[in-house]
Amino acid sequence: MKVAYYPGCVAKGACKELDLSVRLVLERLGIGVTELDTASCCGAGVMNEVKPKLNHVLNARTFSMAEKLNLDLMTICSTCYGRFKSSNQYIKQNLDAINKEIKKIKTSYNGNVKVKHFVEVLNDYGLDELNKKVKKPLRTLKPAVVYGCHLLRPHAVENNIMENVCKSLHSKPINFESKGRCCGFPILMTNRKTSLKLAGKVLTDAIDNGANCLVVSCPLCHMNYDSLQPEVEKVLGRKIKLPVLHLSQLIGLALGLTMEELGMDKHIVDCDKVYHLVHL
Amino acid sequence: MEVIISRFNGKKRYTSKFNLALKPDLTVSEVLMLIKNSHDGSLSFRAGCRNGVCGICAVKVNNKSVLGCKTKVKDIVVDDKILIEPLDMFPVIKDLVVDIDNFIENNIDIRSAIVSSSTHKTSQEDMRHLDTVSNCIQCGICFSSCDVLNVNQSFIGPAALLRAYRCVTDKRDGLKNQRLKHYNKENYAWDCTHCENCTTLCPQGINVSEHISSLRKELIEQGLKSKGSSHHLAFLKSINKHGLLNEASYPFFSINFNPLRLKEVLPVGLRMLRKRKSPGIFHKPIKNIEEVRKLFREVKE
Ligand code: FES
Repeated sequence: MKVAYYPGCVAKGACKELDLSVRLVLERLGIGVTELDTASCCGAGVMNEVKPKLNHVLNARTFSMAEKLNLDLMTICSTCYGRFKSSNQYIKQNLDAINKEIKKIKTSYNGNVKVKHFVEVLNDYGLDELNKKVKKPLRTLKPAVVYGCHLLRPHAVENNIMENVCKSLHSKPINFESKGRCCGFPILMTNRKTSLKLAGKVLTDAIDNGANCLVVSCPLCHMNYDSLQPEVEKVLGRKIKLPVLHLSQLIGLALGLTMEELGMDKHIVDCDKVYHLVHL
Repeated sequence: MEVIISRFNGKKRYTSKFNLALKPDLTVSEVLMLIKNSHDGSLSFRAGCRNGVCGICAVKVNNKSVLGCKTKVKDIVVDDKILIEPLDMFPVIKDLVVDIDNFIENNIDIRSAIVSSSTHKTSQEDMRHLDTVSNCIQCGICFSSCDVLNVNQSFIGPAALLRAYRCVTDKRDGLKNQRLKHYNKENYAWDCTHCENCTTLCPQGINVSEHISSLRKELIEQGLKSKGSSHHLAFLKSINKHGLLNEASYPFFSINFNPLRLKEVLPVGLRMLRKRKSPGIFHKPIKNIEEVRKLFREVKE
């Protein structure tokens, strides 16, 4: 099994540890990776509000890279997933017009690429297979799983796919209402207070329902829940201190990898608690 | 089948349970009617056209906001149970009847009627566009399920922004400039996170979220300044320069180096530096960045 890997901006920038852990986990599982290292930003729901056509054209350029490799395009971000899915749909309906533009950089796209999120790649790999690789069952972990808007809307992944992965690692995902709620990140720079309150709603809902960590599918969610958690605490006037892990890091723990190997020591909220729970 | 209904009698909330043998083809509204007629006459709910046109029958069924008259029991039942509740975000008057005054008043706030000033003849194409953005039936489902509204009740909400966009793009309207200035303020166009609950749940199938994006595009094109537009322009500049976002520098461009807003970006930046995970000030562009820049130059829209 092999995928064309699109890390995206945040995993190449402010949360490099997510890129690190994804690579390591895929390597341990024996899933091959070709990184699309010349690809540009997916547009993140921003570019389409300024130059929608340019956004699609740049994404067609990215898709053409995966198409040439004859591989599915894997993202590790819910926002990239949503943008790419929507863009791919648009491009397929407007193939000629888009190809006319990317011809200018001597490339072409036939509309054959499938966009997949990391969690879907794991699902294809097989959760039984994943289960067999578990060295350190995560019985003591009760993760609150959040999907990030764009794994659910407008294009939805399979029902409970994140929870199913967590269960195959023997952890016990909690049932909570906020799993499909918005983290607030997209308006962090425009209405900071609302943005932080949105993150706070999910974080406190997770704690109140007994979670001992939050598991995300998206580096942007990761930023608001982890990097900005101190600000969220201030806005809510409440201590939270809930460790935040990318799904790849949760898997990494079950595969017996260390905090440092998975870059969990780089998180703003201390993850020691989680690690000790696993290694009791 | 067990039907559980959330009730309110003006003083306290309680639930009523009914065990009924229901034909699976019944709609939620029909089930409510049946209960009222044959089991409990005190049950209150709204129903109007029963045809998906008037938008008055919206309720929450098994945690999803829907039109009662358009939703069949068989499509929404889980484990032989349906839980019917009033819409979120609205004060409950009685049982499933909610007070939608705030929601309706937002239409007044955004001046939802066009004010004709020109003799512009509306073309076929204009009409087709207006058709797609005028289908809202004011059911309030998007308002009740908006994640932003849930934490900030001053936000004007998706239905009003859709209507705002409709008015801005109606060529017969003479208030475009005033309108845009109004929608550019805090709690209007720039406060949507695109959680897309509205788009997913809209019973009319309107892509509300995308129309909000188009409204923002208008704001930027008209050169109106806001935290939102400065963020978006900084974002594009960074992509043009680096291919991927330069997360060390772009937050500073996004706040326009405004000293009063430095406290928004500096503490987070320092916190990251301390963990030795700063994105790096000397952000190298992606390989083949020239291709990206060429497309930036040549694709105008
Ligand atoms: S009763 Fe009119 S829309 Fe349902």
